[in-house]
Amino acid sequence: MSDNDTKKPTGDAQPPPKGAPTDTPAAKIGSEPSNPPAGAKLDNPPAAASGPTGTPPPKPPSGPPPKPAPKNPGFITATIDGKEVVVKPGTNMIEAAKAVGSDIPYYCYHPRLSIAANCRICLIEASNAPKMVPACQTPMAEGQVVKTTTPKVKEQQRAVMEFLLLNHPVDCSICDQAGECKLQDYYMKYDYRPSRLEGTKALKNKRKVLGPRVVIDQERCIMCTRCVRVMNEVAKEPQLGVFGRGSHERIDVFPGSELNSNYSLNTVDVCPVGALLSRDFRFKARAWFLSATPSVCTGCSRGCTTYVDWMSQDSYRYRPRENEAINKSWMCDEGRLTYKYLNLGRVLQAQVGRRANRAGEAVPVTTRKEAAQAAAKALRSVQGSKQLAVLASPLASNEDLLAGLNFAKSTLGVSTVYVGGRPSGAADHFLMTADKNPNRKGLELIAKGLGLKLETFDALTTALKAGTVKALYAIGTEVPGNVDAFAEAAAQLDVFVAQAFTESAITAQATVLLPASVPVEDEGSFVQQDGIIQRFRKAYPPKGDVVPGWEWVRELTSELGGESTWKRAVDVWRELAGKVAEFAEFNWEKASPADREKPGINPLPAGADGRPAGYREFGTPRVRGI
Amino acid sequence: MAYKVSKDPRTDIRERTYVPNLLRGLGITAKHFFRNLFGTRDTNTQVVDRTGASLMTTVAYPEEKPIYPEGYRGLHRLVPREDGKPRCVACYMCATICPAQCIYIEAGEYEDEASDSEDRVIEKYPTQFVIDELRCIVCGLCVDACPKDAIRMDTYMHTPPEYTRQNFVYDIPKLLKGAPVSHPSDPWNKREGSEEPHHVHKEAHTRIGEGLVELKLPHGEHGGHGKALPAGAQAGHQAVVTQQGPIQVTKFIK
Amino acid sequence: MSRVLTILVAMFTIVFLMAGGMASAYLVGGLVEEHWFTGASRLTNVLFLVLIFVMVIATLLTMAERKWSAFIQDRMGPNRARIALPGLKNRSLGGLPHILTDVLKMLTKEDLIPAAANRFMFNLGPILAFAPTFALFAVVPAGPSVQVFGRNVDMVVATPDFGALYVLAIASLAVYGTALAGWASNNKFGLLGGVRATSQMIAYEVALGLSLVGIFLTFSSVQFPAIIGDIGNALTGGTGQGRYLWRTDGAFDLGLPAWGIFIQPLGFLLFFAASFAETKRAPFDLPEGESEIIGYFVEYSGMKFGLFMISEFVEVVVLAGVTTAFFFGGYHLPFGNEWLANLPIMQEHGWLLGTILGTVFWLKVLFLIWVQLLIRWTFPRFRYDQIQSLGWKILLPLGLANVFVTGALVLWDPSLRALAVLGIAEIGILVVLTTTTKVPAGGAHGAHVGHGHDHGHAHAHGGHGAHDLPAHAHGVAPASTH
Repeated sequence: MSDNDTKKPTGDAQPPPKGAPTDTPAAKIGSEPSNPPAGAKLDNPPAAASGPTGTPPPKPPSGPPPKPAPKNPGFITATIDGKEVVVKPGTNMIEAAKAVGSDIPYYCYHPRLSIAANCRICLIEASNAPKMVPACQTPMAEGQVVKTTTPKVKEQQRAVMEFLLLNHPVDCSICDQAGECKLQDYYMKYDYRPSRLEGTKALKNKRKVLGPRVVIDQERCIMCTRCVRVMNEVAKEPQLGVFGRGSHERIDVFPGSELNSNYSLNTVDVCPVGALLSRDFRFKARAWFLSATPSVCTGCSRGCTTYVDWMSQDSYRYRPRENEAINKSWMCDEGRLTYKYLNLGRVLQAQVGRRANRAGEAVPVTTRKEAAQAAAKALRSVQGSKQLAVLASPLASNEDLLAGLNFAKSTLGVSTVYVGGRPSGAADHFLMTADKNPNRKGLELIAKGLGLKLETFDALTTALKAGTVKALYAIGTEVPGNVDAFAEAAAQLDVFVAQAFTESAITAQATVLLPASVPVEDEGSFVQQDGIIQRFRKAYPPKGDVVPGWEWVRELTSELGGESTWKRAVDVWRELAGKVAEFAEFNWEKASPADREKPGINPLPAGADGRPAGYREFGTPRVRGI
Repeated sequence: MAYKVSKDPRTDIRERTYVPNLLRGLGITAKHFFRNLFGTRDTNTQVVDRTGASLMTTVAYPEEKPIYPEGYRGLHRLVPREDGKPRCVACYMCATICPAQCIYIEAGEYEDEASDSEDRVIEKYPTQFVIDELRCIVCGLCVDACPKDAIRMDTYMHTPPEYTRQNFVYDIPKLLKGAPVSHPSDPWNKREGSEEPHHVHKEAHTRIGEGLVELKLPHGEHGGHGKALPAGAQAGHQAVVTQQGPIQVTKFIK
Repeated sequence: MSRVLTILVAMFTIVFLMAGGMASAYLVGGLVEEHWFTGASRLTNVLFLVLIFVMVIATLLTMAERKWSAFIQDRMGPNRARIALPGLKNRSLGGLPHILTDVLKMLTKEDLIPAAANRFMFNLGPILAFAPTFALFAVVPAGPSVQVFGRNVDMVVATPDFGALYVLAIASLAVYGTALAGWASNNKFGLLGGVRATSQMIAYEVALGLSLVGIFLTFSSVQFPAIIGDIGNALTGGTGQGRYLWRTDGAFDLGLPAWGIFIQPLGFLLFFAASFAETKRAPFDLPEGESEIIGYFVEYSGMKFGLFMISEFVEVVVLAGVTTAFFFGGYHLPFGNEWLANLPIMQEHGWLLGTILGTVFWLKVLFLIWVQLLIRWTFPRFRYDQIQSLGWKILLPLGLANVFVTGALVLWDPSLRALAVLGIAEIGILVVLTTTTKVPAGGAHGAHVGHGHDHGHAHAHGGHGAHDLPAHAHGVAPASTH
């Protein structure tokens, strides 16, 4: 998995509205690394525009050099590859060089981890050192002249690459990292020579299972120890260590233990080569086929900023996206694996009539129009009635909730809304929260803005038992209580119109089932537990007959005689977000990260039908290997 | 207006009266007619090597089949290993390079230590390997792209005709054929299993000088040095002893 | 070697079959003359000459054209159709089974009629194209008139007084078929083809008629029997083309026969070119124009198209027959003609003489058919303006000149020997021109053959086909033969 550290933080371009701190030490979770790289945050230094023409400060004469007066007080002014750079004191050379466009290669360095300086590929020439210095470890000094492209540096980089590749098995053909591997990239850039090794390479464990989610190939490892530092410093669960020495040095778990931390997959993220691999993603897809779309993790109310990697109409994995305010560069394992509900067990067809009563029969084809008409007919009979209840799920996006709750209030005439959603789970010491719903805060804000009263789910079950509710309109069918018990209660309902994306016992009881899209199939926004609003983007068109929830609401509104002209999710936001005071500051369009971060080669939909090669006769494409 | 050939000063009476040259043309065609009528056709499939009076260049296909040239790109095949499974490791190189996008692969993982055959050291294998031969443009890029010598087009066969399009979609049982292939660099020739060996032998670059000194001796002292020698004849000089026995060292020629 | 033998055996088989056909034609003719009524043999001649000989040869030609063109083009030709009988199963039989498959295909194909076509005219087209070509052969004698069973048997269907004019008249009728077919198809390409065919055929009618005038003048007749002539005997010389211009003395006659090709070589060229244009075959196949407009039969399918195609081949046969009759001495042998006819056995069994001479006639016809196919597969097609200028600007003036020269020479020397001298000279010039190559441009400029301003040939400009002898002599003298 690729390194977040190589990407520029392309998270929300707009600072979070609640004024969340962007780069204050207090916002960081965990202890500060011993040598904190502050990053090349230029914070608008006064002479930043002086440009590369600025001459380096005159060299002091021999003897104990008197401290030269800083050119820009409060900042360090130095020269990298002939360009003047002005940085904060303590900024290391790698970050400073990035600021002026000089790339210094590195493996072991990570901006959010302590400095190990053991890969030695970042060695560069500095004017105040007799030997080459590791750029990751050395802070910039006033008046320093740094050169990153001299023949000496280049030879050093090539030699380091040769050493690193000495025992590397070069089995890229079966390595999942191929395509996003720093060893591949740097080999092409800094080495590009055949091996001079004669004889065999060191044999180590090719596939040692470290834990429930991570497998290691010790032969591929280049001993950068990033994974060890991640477990020590970020997860604070020191489960990995370095064993042996020389050619037989290797990363492993301590004897008798396993890598079972909830943050173990972060080691896969930071691994610059293919040594640590996710057992879930292993062999599912090659990296160059995948496209990445900015998204938000829906596993808990933390709302970690993510990329979703997808191909064709399937999601393959979540990767953390840089967001200083929420998750930095990290993500929990549990949240990473929640992508699976985007692919499997989906409601893909509209249905009219209870599916549970016709188990085993073929599903009759119901068009979206027919389903909307059936739903409108059912709802019209209970419009404004006390017997009608509305169940809203905090898994739905702001746009779906705005549209759905506004519809419930103005068209259906209800004044209370019952809150569904996933049941609470365990929280942990870092990112994961107990509330497993990504948008509970958003639901609360919208209900408040629209003047609706929120009731708990227990109140709904009580009302169902009492028989006071005979009709239910559900925006999302996830329930915090017992699913089967609720399904049994729902079987007694006269009208049960449900917008759902995952099949369950409850959707089987729906009298009209409307397939709704998951976040990756439509754009929208979530409000995270701290009140930060985040946009997510559309990756691929919805599967099957699925349409976004707000589009169902638009259909129902027009079937019930209303007027609605929404074409995109943003139309819903523009029309209804004004009713919610907290949404006023959020600029929906400007908060949008790039639509597609990394386009994959995506060779599969060759024909206009989009079906993969060899499956032209098979109907719809299959879910690939998940 | 049309170019007047007859007004060209370079022509003479033969061209301008047409008839002599028409007759000459008739003579040429008549010569071909009679040579082909009375001459026996040489059935050598190499047309340029044909002799005899007949001038015909036809190769009567089903009865006479031309020999395909070396390197002819025929129907694909998946190369088997010694144990009969495909050499393919599902790296998707062929599917990536394929300009017609006719290759579809699904990768799977061998169970850990599944058996003592070759796949004991192999992790990845294709659960599905499908080539749509109708979509294939026979460019051979898949063969070039393959890092494992697992797909070849050396069958010297055309895609045989079928009655349905689906029959042109070749899967592993249809593709896997031909002689098995094994290379010294294959992992099952290098190690026992995928875990670390108990008694690690020192690898070559840690044994200073060993195996390299004698290679640098002048050629005269070793008769025939550099030619293909029988395995083991100079094992001490050209091969490195590992726990699996001698393995030929391939010197990379720069 | 076995292939040479196979071919020779096949050739002799063909000759043998033709001889058998002629023998039965004479014998049946004699029998019906004897048993039915005088002139009944003319009816059986319809059967034998037109339906059997012409039709069978035309049918075989459909195959021969493809096979011969293949040989000309170094191919093998059609050979895939096989007959599933023991012994024949794996033999291509020279492609002959393709005739059967072609016929089957033609007969079983769907007969499409365009919705907007004039159905009556559409159906009439192929009939009008097919019938006249058959009728043409009625006046061509395929053998001598001999005594069989004491009765006179003429190997011809009809001997009208207007003879050759009948040929010209009926040939003109064929234009109705093509014009109708093109028009009735209600297809732009069809109409274009029909118009092209009409204008081409009418243009060449003139040249066709003029080219024959020389022959009529020479033999003072328009009737086929008179032009072909009789074989002489000990008392009288032959008439028509049956006589000799010069001959050796002795029992076995050897000499220069008075064939049209010798005394009217120019007429022959004109006639052959003009009649080739009448058959609408390459290089005069503009009405079809396969690469551009398909032609007047573009909308026809099945056997209706087959009629157009077969009528083309019938025209080839008829043209060969008429040319043989006019220019190649009909059924006469080039030598030994009188000796053979005056053998006692021949005098006694007239049908034997008729069989031999009739076979000779058909052999000449076969040779001319082969020449026509050779021409068709050798020459590139004309452009349409070239066709018209060839017809009106070259063939017509040459035909007129031929008429006047021939008339003058016949008047000057009724024995036709002067005409023969001129004819032989023309043939000789043609042979010399054909067998020599172009003269290199004058000694000093020998190396500059390709130069455009080449004075060596400036004075050699003559009209097309103008036989100014000094120019030829100049051209021939330094040339090296090969």
